[in-house]
Parts: sequence; C-alpha cells; structure tokens
Amino acid sequence: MVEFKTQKAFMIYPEKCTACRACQVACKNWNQLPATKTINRGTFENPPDMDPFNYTKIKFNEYGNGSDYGIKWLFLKQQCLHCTEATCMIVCPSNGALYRTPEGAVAFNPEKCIGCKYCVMTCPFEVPKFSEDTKTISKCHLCHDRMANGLSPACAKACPTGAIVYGDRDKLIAEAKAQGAQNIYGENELDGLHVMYVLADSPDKYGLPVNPKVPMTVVLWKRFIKPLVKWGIPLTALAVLLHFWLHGPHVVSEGKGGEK
Amino acid sequence: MAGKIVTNGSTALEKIGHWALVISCVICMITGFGFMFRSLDIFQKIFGLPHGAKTVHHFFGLVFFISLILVFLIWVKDCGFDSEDIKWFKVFGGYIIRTDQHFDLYKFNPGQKIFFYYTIIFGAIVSITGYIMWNPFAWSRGAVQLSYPLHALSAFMFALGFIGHGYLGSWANPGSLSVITSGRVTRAWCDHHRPRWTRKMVKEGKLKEE
Amino acid sequence: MTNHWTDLANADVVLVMGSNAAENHPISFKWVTKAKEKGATLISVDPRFTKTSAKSDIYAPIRSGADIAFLGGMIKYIIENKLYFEKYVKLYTNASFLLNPDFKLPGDNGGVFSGYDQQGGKYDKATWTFQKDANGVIKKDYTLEDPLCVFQQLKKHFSRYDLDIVSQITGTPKESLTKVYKAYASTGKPGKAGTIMYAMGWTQHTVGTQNIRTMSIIQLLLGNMGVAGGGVNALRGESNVQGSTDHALLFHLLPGYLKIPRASDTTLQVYNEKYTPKTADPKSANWWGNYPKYSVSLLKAFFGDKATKENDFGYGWLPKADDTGNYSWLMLFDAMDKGSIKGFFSWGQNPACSSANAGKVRRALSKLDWLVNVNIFDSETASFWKGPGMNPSQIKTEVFSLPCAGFFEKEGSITNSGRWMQWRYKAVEPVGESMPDGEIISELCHKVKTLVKEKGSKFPDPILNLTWNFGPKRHDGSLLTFDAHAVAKEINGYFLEDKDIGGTIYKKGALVPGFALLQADGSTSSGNWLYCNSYTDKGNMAARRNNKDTSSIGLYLEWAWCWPVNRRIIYNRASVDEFGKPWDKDRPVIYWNGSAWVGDVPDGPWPPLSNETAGRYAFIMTIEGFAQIFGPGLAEGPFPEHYEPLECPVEKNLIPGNNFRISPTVKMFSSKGEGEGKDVFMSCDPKYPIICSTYRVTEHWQTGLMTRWQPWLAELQPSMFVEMSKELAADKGIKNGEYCIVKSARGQVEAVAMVTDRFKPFKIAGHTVHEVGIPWHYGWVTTAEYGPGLTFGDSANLLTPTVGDSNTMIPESKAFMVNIERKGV
Repeated sequence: MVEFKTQKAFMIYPEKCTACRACQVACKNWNQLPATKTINRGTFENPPDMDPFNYTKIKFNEYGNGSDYGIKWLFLKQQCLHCTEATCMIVCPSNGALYRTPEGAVAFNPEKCIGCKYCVMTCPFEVPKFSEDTKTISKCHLCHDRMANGLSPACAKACPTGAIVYGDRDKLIAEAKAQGAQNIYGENELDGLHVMYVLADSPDKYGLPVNPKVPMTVVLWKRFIKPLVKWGIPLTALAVLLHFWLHGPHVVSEGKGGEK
Repeated sequence: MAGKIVTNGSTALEKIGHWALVISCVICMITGFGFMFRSLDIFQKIFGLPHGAKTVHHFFGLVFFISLILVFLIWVKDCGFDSEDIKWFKVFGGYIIRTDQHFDLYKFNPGQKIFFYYTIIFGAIVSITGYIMWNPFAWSRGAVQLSYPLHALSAFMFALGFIGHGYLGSWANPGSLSVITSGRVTRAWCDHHRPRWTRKMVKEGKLKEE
Repeated sequence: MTNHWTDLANADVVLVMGSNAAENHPISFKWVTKAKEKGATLISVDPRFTKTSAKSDIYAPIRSGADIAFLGGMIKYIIENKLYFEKYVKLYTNASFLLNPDFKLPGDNGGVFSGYDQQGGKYDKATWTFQKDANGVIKKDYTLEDPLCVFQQLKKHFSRYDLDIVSQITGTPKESLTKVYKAYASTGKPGKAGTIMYAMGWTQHTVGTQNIRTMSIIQLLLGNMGVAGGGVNALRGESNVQGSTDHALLFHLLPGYLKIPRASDTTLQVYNEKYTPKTADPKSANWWGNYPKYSVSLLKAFFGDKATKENDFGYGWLPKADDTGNYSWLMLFDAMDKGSIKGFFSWGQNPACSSANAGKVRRALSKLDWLVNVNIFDSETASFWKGPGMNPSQIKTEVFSLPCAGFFEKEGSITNSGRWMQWRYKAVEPVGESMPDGEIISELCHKVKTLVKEKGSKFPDPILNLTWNFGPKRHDGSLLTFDAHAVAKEINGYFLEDKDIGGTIYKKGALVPGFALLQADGSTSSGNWLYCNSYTDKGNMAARRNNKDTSSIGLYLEWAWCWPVNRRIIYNRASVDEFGKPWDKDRPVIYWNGSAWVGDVPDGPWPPLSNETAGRYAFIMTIEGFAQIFGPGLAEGPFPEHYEPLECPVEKNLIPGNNFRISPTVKMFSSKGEGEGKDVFMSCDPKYPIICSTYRVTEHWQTGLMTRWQPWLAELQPSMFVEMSKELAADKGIKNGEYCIVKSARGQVEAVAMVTDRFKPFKIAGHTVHEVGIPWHYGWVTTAEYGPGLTFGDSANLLTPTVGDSNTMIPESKAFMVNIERKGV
C-alpha cells in the first residue's frame, strides 16, 4: 500500500456541474458497458439509479418553494467514493474480489466475486450493484486501468466544465481550501474518501448521507462477533479437553446400572 | 439381563435426522468460517474456489434447515420438562461435580432437552437469517444488515453447542455415541440413562434385545 | 459569434437569453465557468428554469416571444439612467447621425414605421435615411441632443417600454426585470464587458432578426462590441452551421455573403454596381467596396480558364433568381406540397422532423417523383412513405438512399460558432458502402457532366465549364480520389498569373496570402474571399494546433484559423479609444504602439481614428464606418418594435399606440383554421390556450437522427416529454410521468408529462397564462412501433406553424399555442 498522501482522488465541484452527463457516456464508453432500457419517469434523470452497467450517474435534486422562483436544481455525480474505511472490503468474504489499488481506489475482480451481495447491502452509499446476468457485482473502479497508465479516469477527462478534478488527494484538498471551500465532503468521512465533494449546501440536499458510517451491524459483525468466534471456538474446545482431563469419561458400569 | 445389547436405541428416522444435521452443520461451518476468515480461505478452496464454497454453503444450508425441522418434529415430544427434571437441575446432572444420585429420566436428561431447544433456536436463527442473506433484495436493507451479525452469532452459538454435544455424546460418555450410530447400546446404559423409557418399552414389548 | 468560445471567460456579465447554453452548448460552460470563477455575473432569462438557470446568479422568467419588450425595457433603462458608454456611442455608432425629418416612429404612426404599404405588407424605406451635407457626407450631432439624431429617436422610441408595460407583456416580475437591467447595464463602463449568448430561442420567431438587433443596440450602447468578453454571440446549433452559412447554404447568397444574382442583374457590371456600396466619407473604409474583387475571384474559382474578361468571367452562366423570388425552406416545401418541385436531394438532413409544420412536409414528400436521401442512418425523411398515416401503396415517390461517412470517417474542415476553421482528420474507414460526401458529390457531378456531354442540354455551359480539380482523375475525367485539401486550397484561392502588387511579385499558381490581394481583373481566384488566408504557402492554417496563448485574453492565434484573416474578435478597432489605447487595460484586444497594431489581427492596418488623414472608422463593414444603432436594412424597421408571435395568448399588441398584433411584414401562408398538417394558425383561441416552445436536450442532436440510434444516448433521454408547471398539471389532472397528448391547430404528439417547479404560470396583462415546453429530437423510426424501440414519440414539429421571420424566413417554432390532455381521457 502506498502512502495515503500520494493517493489519487477526485475533487468534485457540483456547483460547476451542468448535468451534461458526458461523464456517464464516457464511463460506458471506456468500460464498454451496454445500454439499459429506460423510460422517462417525469425527470431528466436516467437511469433511475446506478446499476451493473452504470457505474456513475448524475442525480438531479430539484427543490421549489412553490410560490416564486426560489428554485434549486442541484446536480450530484454519483459513483463509488472509494472510502478508506471501505465497508464493501470489510464485508467481502472472497479474497481479492474487492481490492485496493496502489493509487487508492477500491477495484473489483469479477472472477473472484461470488455474488454474495454483502457489499451491495451494506455500502453506506449504496454503490455496488449486482448483475443477474453475470452473477457478480460491479461498480466504479476509478478507471484504475487508466490510472495505472498515467491517464485520468474517463469521466474526469470528459467533463467540460472542470467539475471533476483528478489528482493527488492532499493537493486536491489544499486546492479546494485555497479556493475557500469550507466543508469538503469526504476529507475525513470514513477515514477519507477518494472521491470528495465541495458542496454549496448540506449533503442531504444533494442526496448524500450526512454522516456516512460503516453500518452498526457490520461493526458488530466484524469487530465483535468475528473475534468472538476466533477466540470462542478454540477456548470452548480447550474447556472440553480440560473437562475430560479433570473428570475423565463417565462410564456406566456393567450390570449395576449405577454410577462409576 | 446383564450383558444384553439393546438394538433399538434410536430409530432410522432419528439417525437420518441427526446425521443429516451433523453433516450439513459441519460443511456449513467449514465453508462459513472460510467466508468469515480470509486466513481460512483454504476452507473455501477445498470446495472448488469461493464460488463452489458458496454453492455448497447454500445447498447444505438447505439440508441443515430441513433436518432441523425433522429433528424438531421427531424429538419435540420427548423434550417436555417434568418434575424429575427439577431434581436433575439441582445437581446439574452431575456434569460439573459428579454425583451418585440417580434420576428417573425418560429418553433425555434435562441438559439434553435444553441442548435440543438451544439447537432449534440457534438453528432457526441461522437458517432464517441465512435465507434472508441468500436473497437479500427481497428484504429491507435494515433486515439484511441485521441478519449478517445474527447469522454469525447464531452460527457461533451453534458451533459451541456442537462441540459440547459432541464431547458429551462421545468421549465424556463412553458407550453413548453408538445410540445414534448403530442404535446399539447396553441394557445397563439404557437403565442408567433412560430408565423410564426402558421400562415403558419393556412393558410394551418394544425393547429389542439380543 | 463576433467573439469566440474561449473569449467568454473574459466577460464580467454573461447574459444567456434565447439559449440554454449549459444544456445545448456544454463546452461553452467551460469558459462561462472560468468567467464565474473570476467573479462574473451569470444571468439566465428563459421561460423555464433551465440547467443554465441552475448555474446563474440571476434568473428571470420570460414568456416566449416577448424578448424585444424585455430588451426594449433595458434600452430605456440604460438611456434614462445614463448608463451607456457615451464616448463609445459617439465615436463608433451612428447615434449621432441626423435622420430624415419625414421618418416616423411606430409610436407616432399607429404601430408601424413610416413608409408602410398595408397592401403589400412591406415597407418603402425612402424615409429611413440620413441627412447629408453638400459633399454627400452624413450630418452628425455629436452632442446627441438634436431631436432628429438617431440617439434621441431611439430614446423616444423605447420610452414607451416602461417597466409596467414590459412586465405585462413578458410576464417577468418587475423586480426581476430591474435586477437583470441593473446587472447587465453595469458593463457600460470602460473596462467592463458584457456578453450575450443566444441561439434558436431568439432566431426562431417571426421577429427573430429584430430580437438580435435589439441586443446589438444594447451592446453598442454599453460599448461591448469589439472588446474582449463582449460581442453578440450566436451559439450555433450544429458544429458546422457557421461553415455552411459562410459557404452559402442559404438561397439568397453566394459564398462569402456575396449576393445571389437576380434576374435584373443582367451583366457582371450591373451586378457589381448594384451590390458595391459607395461612400463619400474618406474616413470610411467601406470594405464591401471591394465587392467586385470577390465576385470575380469567385467566378474564376467556379469556371477557371473558361472565365475570361470577354465573357464576363462566366457571369452569364450563373443561375439567376427572380427579383422578388424567395427560395427559403418554407417556400421550397410549400412548392413541393403544391407539386411544382418534382425531385429532392435530402443531404445530411431530416426535414420530415426538422421542418416547422412537419406534417405538411411529410405530405409534400409524398408528392415527389424522386427523393435522394444521403445520411448515415435511416430517417423519417428516407422512410416517410411507411410512416404514421402513410399508405405506401398510394405513394409514387421513388426513394434512393445513399449511405455516407460520418465526420470521423473523412477528412475536412468545420467552422465553429467562433468562426474558427478547424481541420479534422479521418479516424476510421467508412463503414460498408458509405462514402464521404465529397466523393458522392464528385461522382454525381461527373455523371451529370457526362450526361450533358453525351445527350446535350438546353444550357450546357455552366455544367461543362465548371472546374472540378479536387484530386487525381481517371481517363473519363472522374475523380480517382477526392482530396479535401484541393477543395480547401480552391476556397482560399490562387494567383492565376504572375502579379505585381505594391512591388511584390506573386507567382502564378501561388496561394493568395489574404483577401486584400484578391483582384477584380481575373488574375486571382477564390472560392470564398472570407476564407482567403486559410490555406497559404505556409500550409493549412486550419490544421494548426499550437495552444500557446501569446495574448493576455486567450486569443490562441496559432490554434486553427479564424475568418476573417485570423481575426479572433471582429470589430476590434472599437476596443480602443481614438488614440489606439484599449478601453480595458487589463484585457486589451489590440493597441497602437505608435507605428503598428499589437495583439489580435486588427480590422485593417490603418492607424487609429485620431490620425486625421490615414485613420479609419472602426466598423469597416458598414458603408459609413459606424455601427448601426439605426439599421435601415431590415424588413420590419430600423429600430426593433415588439410584435406578438403569430400564435399568442393576447388579443392585441400591449405596446401603447401599436395597432399591429403581429409583425406587419410577416409572410402569411394562410388564415385561421384547423387541420392536420395545414398552414393554419389559431391565436387567442380557447381551444389552444397554452404557449408552447421547443428546445433541445444535451443528449440528442437536432432531429435525433445521429443520436436516437445510439443506445447509450437513448438510455439517457429515451422519450418525448412535455415540461409543465405544477399548477397547469393540477388544472389538467396530469401527474408526473403520465402520458399526455399535446395538440396544436396543425397536429398532435404524445409525450411524457414532466411536472416541475421549474415552470411557472405567467401573469400576462392580468391573466394567468401557462407555458409548456417540448424537445424536438424525436421521431417515429426509432420507436418500438416502427423500429428498434430505442425511443418514444414523434417530432415536436408536427405542432409548429408555417410562418417565418420577415428577413430570414426562419420558422417560428419557439412560440406557438397548444392544448394538452392526459392520454386516454
């Protein structure tokens, strides 16, 4: 694992995003993902959610106050945020199905994915999606194949307004702060996200969880029960041996029907 | 009568139910611990890569659940508590400190009965949560997320019970294991461990001996 | 664009009106975003809250078709609050010109300017003239106080556009109007620049040209023309629409904006004299005075050695239009519908969806003998005969489809909105039998020539004498391969003989370095004088890719090439004062260093205006050298006046004293009525009480022909929709996402309801008026019923009326009346 400081990341400025969705198409193009059949549901937003063939999408958040033109139309680029404390990696039962790239991204290996859907159900951002066709999950991998070759991820490359900035994580944070960013979503969340946002409004207005955390049950499961199992089973076996050593077998004596 | 061997210590159905439960439980534990501990991924690999382990876990999970129901139906009638059990409880059957006291038990002692309910309860939890985890999209995220620790916890409890039961049923009580393998036990063993049952069987002429 | 895309970053205020740049010109927002980072104010004026509005600092809603009222109010605000750039206005505009005393404003003349002929529906412009002195030079009053000067007349004209009236017409709240006016007028100071980004939201109206005129007047009053971050910037709707316009896609033009010869222009001399403007003012550069050099060079490019002085350089071979002939789009399809056009090449277009009143166009296509369709995918035009409501057995039209190469499958240039000619290379081979357009047209030309040669023709000369040196040829004269470079060079032009110009000898066969060297004696050729300098002996200028900027304002002079003569900001002589010092010292476009201009390519080499003898006025393309606040060239009048769209929700023009609801010069195709695809309209009719406008989405292009077939894009925008306010939806009992039917007097389309807060009802003259909006990208060939099921819905143009702008005949598809109902009710 490389130094956290030199890890690559995105700083996304939703205020600069015009929802042109070039990122969505660039992602499909680079990853050669097939189109999904959609309908218009009374919104510009499509597909309805990230899915096995849409690793990223723009979420349209519309707020009107009903009386005048005090309208907000906030656009959020949804994708895997590549948490440092990544729930998906914590829960994944298959070695190497989800792994950390040298650049800091959380990538997936479909050959090792067993389709248990643990990550799908526990990711605090609901990012990994399961495909019934391939029986594996898929999600944004920050174009680790491009990154490894010194290229920026496809979506960042396609973004016309500079809303997606790719670079060294600490430099991105410094840059955003130099521009007066007060709150950088993802600077510290989940030990630091590799996709961060400079938000002009509260995270929930954009459709982001205000305080993302590894779910309590996952903590219980992996931080408490797992060690309990790890120690509990050998200790129990030991107790049994001890009992046998102390008491020996309980033999029913022949003919007497009584005790030893 | 001494030296006689009772051959119908257990019925065929009891044997099938019990061993199906044991085998499925073992396989699920091996694969399950393989999933839980990356360092134990050898447990996945012996079933042909993690994909195979998952399939095996699912299949034997199903076997486990069915056999759990089976043993429940077979033994629930024998697992009601009665006044004799209270006496047993007072000294805890002599498990911890050996005693000469004798109990007029039917088929199972209260410890075994508790173990029965313990098995059923944790077996049910592990089965239900396992079912939820198997097809998580049919449930709310909260329910599924809760299932994960419950599954692990109940499997753990089941594993503890498994160890204790296995020990008590074999090394701790020589001669006991055969009651569920061949069904063949000594008459003395019967008189000692299940006196009331033996008397009933004799009375009804159902005790088979050779 | 008078400026260019990257220059948007220099603006202090960006007004986006008549366009939705964030949605439809995503790349433009790279530069708008940069401007905003530097502190610029972004204003969005639009009937609905768009993606542009979402990024803007100020948003003002406006009813479609009320732009002149909105902007007229701004002119009044600027003048009455003295926010105009006085020195600029005096130096560079015709504000000081004294007008003909007989000229009358519409306010004093019942709603029309002087000279209106009610019968003919057009103007006699005799009074739209200036007073001249004994030398024929226009009289001026630099104090701008003479009541007959343009400035005072302008002030008087727009004094009628007060805030109340404007708000009643536009439906814009008064506070919003003032907010916009104040923000934009803040650029009327030296060192401040405001830019306008407009598109089809302004042009596709019966008063489209005047919409832009109004903004031009504002830009002149504020001194925003010629400066960095200023200008009047048309965002083109296609990557190469600027190029196709430059190269005379329009019926009334030859390449380089030369006029199409008319029947009465019998000889080259008559033609040149008629279109060569003259001025008596020695300080006016009057660049169009060079007209004959360009027309003769064009004829030499057309006919080569066959064009000689003796035969008028082949002028007689050019086709002549009728003196009053109008061959615009609407007229062509009208003629086709009436049966007088028998054959039609539909090349890279899809009129069955793109044309206003598409139902009429689809009917017209069925009356053709033959139709040749050249495109990359199947279209509603190519397959019109099997479309909705068609009976193939009744249609006799023979249809030929020629597959052509996509832009990435061929080499050539495109010219973007900022006038940059950029060279593109072939990336991949064309698929299957498809061919680049150049090869298709070369083969067509060869076949026509051969036919004429073999079978004769009534008038073979123009065809047989036409040069076609666009690549190596076979024995029979056909092209072996088509060479885009040969075309580019011919467009630039050659010296056809050794020529001594000002002591420099130019060799025969050399490429002409610039249009100032083109000759009227037949010694040069140029396929388009505006592009002379684009392909010189230094190479293909359009292929340059040096992205280093030597200026401080992002001119990128060595990136590609820009017409004219690589000038990135036109009218840049107006960016300096009379001494050549830039108004804006931080963002100089050019400046005079005492002996030469430094910076952008200046509008001519002459020294600044303060040089009494050699100095020239800034606006070199006008006759007098001044920018036209008073513009007598247009059909509807020298000043813009608000008129309603053909179909609108108000009974009469709300501008005081104006008795004309619609523009008095509009060509009418029919009167009131109703019927599928017919030239009918229904204004202020309770059957159609809702205003409708059409627009685009990022994901689709034009009629969607190139994008609807692309599943990735269809996934993003799969369906025709209709955006409406929550109030209207409640009225009509429509829920978000439900299927609706939108109807006009001419047709109907199905659409998914998009119920949103981003549309709000307007208060127009005290009444609540609703507006809805629909995209125009959809068509039936890609629907599940007729094709692969990638998209849903048919063309929005089934609803739009057959009526056009008086000057350009651009159809009015941005404001018309409809009704809407839930499907199945």
